[in-house]
Amino acid sequence: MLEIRDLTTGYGRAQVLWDVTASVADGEIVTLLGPNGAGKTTLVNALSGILRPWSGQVLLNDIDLTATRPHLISQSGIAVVPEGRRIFPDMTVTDNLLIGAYNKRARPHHEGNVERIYEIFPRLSERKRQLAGSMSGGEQQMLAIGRALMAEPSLLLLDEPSLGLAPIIVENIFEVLKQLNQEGLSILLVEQNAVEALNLAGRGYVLEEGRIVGEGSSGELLADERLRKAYLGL
Amino acid sequence: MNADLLTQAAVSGALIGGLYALMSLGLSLSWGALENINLAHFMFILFGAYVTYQLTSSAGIDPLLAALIVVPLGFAAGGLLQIFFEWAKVDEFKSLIISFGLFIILQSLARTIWSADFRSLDQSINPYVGSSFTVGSVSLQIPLVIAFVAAALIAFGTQAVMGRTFFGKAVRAVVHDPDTAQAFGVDHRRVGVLLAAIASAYSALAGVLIATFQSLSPTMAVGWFGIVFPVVILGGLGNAVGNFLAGIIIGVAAGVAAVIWGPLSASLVTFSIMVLALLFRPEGLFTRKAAI
Repeated sequence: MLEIRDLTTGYGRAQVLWDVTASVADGEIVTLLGPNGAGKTTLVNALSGILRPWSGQVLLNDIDLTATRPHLISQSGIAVVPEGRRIFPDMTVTDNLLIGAYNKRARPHHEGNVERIYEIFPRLSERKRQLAGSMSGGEQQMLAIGRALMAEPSLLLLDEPSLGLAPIIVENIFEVLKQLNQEGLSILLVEQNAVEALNLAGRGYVLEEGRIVGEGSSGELLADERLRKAYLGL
Repeated sequence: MNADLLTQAAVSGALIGGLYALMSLGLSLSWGALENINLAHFMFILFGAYVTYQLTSSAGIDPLLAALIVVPLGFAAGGLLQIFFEWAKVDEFKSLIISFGLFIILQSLARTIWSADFRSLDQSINPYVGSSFTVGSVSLQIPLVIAFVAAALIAFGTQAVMGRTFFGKAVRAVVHDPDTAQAFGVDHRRVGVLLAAIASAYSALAGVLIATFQSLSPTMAVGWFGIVFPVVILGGLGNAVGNFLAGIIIGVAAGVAAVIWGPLSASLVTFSIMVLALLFRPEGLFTRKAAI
């Protein structure tokens, strides 16, 4: 599904990622852990086309995304739930969802998909015509996930979806992610909330100072003494 | 003060307000959606008017049919200018300075081509100028009625496109967050160029309509500042229907003020309205905003 090979990138001249190699297999949930400033969001930006890689490769189903023009990446099957949600606050909930379906592949199915999103998140269906910026943080996060699903992705990237949300909402959102995964969606989950993330994911990577410094199954990572101290607060 | 005279001033003001709205819509869209304060729109209007004048006076084309040539030219010119703005990474402030330079250059060019003398289409080749009909005691000038109807159709048409189509939603998404819009498949450069081209086509059409009933001179564009900026601010940046209603408000206010206090008071009144709008409703009278 997703293959990241020796990816190097940064902002301006400041290099952030060094030779990052990672993968997500079909139907997997993989989590990316690491402290603030490790480069997690930079990696998400590079995968979603916001940032161009300096070197290395990103392959999605054997298609080289580093050679794909940024606005065509969603068409090839990656959809992103960005850090801080980045919904369009002055647009209605429905219009936000429709932007998710902008790419040529997903657009013909937008009507059915909007209904599907409203079934997944009934809270959103009560607020269809409300301006997205007037909703609570949890509702905005649901909208950001709904918008990404509208793109009919094969891989969903989530950048800190639990940030700033009440535990009950986080639980609800993680439940939805589990459900979507069981229906076949592959997920790359960037999280600070390491315990929750490892409980959901099958595998994980640890990113520190722009380099992958550890990887393993969730069980292995949860048992790792150093990781427990650094991220799990145990 | 005669009531008939005031009624006439208000009705004529409302009609010409439609034209004001069309003259302002291009600037409003490019300011609101592309974050360019593009003074070149004044030149798109001026050249739209002069090219119409030229086509009609030398080739004998009906001035309204000249729109079939002038509007596509405006579309192309605005699109090309936006490609340059994108290429040169022009931000809001730089766009004001650069397009002010373009304003001066193109105004001189118009003076070189058409001289500083007033130019107007003679009644023998322009069926619209001077024609009117009356309703009760009020006289309606036909070129103003045409301009009003065109402006209304364009305002509501643009609003519908912005609200209902994927293109319109993409424009709004790009305004707020081009990176996120791009991550969902919106090619923000292409959307920007298309929108700029449409905006300048509107300005060129306003020029065509002006040529059907006004005398043209290169310096007239400076006089439009006092109309266009108040309309754009009052209507709300990028809000097509708000812009149309603001055009009518400004048109009526300027027309009635001219009758009561004399023609020179018109821009005092329109600018006062703009200042009040900036103080109390900087987002425009008709714009709906989210709480956050």
